[in-house]
Amino acid sequence: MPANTPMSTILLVDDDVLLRNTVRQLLELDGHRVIDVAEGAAGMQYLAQHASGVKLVITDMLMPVMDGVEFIVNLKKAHPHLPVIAISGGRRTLSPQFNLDTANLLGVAKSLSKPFGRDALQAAVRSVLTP
Amino acid sequence: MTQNRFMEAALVLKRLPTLEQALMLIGLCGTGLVVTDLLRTGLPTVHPLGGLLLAGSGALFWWKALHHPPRPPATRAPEADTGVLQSMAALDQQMLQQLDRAVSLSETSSLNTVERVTDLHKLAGQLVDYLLTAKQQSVEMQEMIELNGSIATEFAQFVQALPQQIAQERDHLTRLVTDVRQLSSISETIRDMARQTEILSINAAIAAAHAGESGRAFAVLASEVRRLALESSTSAQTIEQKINGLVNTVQARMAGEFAQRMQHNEREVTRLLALTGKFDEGYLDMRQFYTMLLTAITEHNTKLSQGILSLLDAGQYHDVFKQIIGRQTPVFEQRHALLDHLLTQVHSGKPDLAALDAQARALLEQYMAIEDAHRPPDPRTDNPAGRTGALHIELF
Repeated sequence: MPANTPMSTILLVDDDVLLRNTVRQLLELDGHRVIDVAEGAAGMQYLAQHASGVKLVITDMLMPVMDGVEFIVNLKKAHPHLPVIAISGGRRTLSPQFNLDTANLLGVAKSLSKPFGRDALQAAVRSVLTP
Repeated sequence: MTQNRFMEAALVLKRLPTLEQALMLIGLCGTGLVVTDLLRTGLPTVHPLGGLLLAGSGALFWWKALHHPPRPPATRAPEADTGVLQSMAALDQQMLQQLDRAVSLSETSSLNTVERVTDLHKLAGQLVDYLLTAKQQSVEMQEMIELNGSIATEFAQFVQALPQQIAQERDHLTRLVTDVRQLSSISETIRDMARQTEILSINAAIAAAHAGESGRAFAVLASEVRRLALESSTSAQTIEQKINGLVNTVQARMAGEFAQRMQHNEREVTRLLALTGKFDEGYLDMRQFYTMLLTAITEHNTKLSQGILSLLDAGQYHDVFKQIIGRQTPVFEQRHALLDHLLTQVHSGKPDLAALDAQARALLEQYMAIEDAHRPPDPRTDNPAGRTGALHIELF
């Protein structure tokens, strides 16, 4: 676990199973506890029951059912103090930059363009979780 | 007694104009000298003119003194001299406290306004940057859609070519049907030959029954049978040739232009289907793009709206400032009137300091009551539900 980063429960929301598993393993290597779901509605459902334990939310932007934009908007209304890191690789004609700029405008704490390395993930998580 | 009179005269002097003060001072000194000389020598030793002037001044002094008698000791309140001043000072202190509060509110309001305007500027800047990114994204999507849009033209060309291709295929089919009909007529010929052969065989059977009598009839029948056999063989060859021709025609068409056209059509259909898929994806991406754009702008505008409302809230500080000053204005006027009254009474030599002190205290209490009614609520001590009073400004 990197210095100055306490172990936290992190909610990971992404429809890409491979990336979800990879990110979860990276975060668990750093000592975090990770809850992963495939889309925003499932994320909101989990937070409705376990909001107090979750210290950080990492969410993809393009997902089925409830996409990242709707998820972040709902999250900001229901849990305004819960920090969010947005991740996006874009899709076809939708660039990752536009997706992440949208997330930034909605007030996320950090944004990462896919693909990202372990260092970038650690740095982003550390900057958000470290008081 | 004389000393007391001098002291009272001195008090009166403080209230007289400068010229009168000078004359009376001369008179006072002359009178003092005369009295001193009289007490010391029993005779006046001063110059007659000086004595006259001193006497005149003294007369003026005494006239003034008699017309401005000091306040009778019995009616004076010793503490009233300073009491009215203390009350006025207390009033001034209260008003200064409120002025300090007004200045503090104004300072807080200014800082608050600057902070909120800075936030709004930052929010507006974020929106401008975001819209620039969105514009770039929109241009890229537009180009992609225009690129995929060529599918419509290609589809049109493909569909336009189809009737001609169908007509060609119909001609080919017509020729095939004609060939098949020809085969059908040949089959009919073969069936006729078969019937005739059957009749011949029957006739041969009958002739065989009369074999001994008419041997030539067999020769005729045999000849007919050979002819029919020959025709059958010819027809069979014709049929074989026709069938081979049909097979060759079909094979040629399958392997030739027809086959190429079919393969081309299959490729075109596959390619156009793929383009249609991209077209659909582009549409979905564009729908996602506008959903994200509208959501982000709506949420951001909500923040901007809240920021502007917050800025308007900050304006209440200025209103409170104005109200504090507004409440002080009539008190200031009353305070000035009280001072004027005090000066007038002092000038008149009959200052009712106790009454003035009472008025000053009343003014102080009136002002404190007004300010108390406008005091912001203290959550630790105040009960808003049980609070009475008139006006009250709620801040934020």
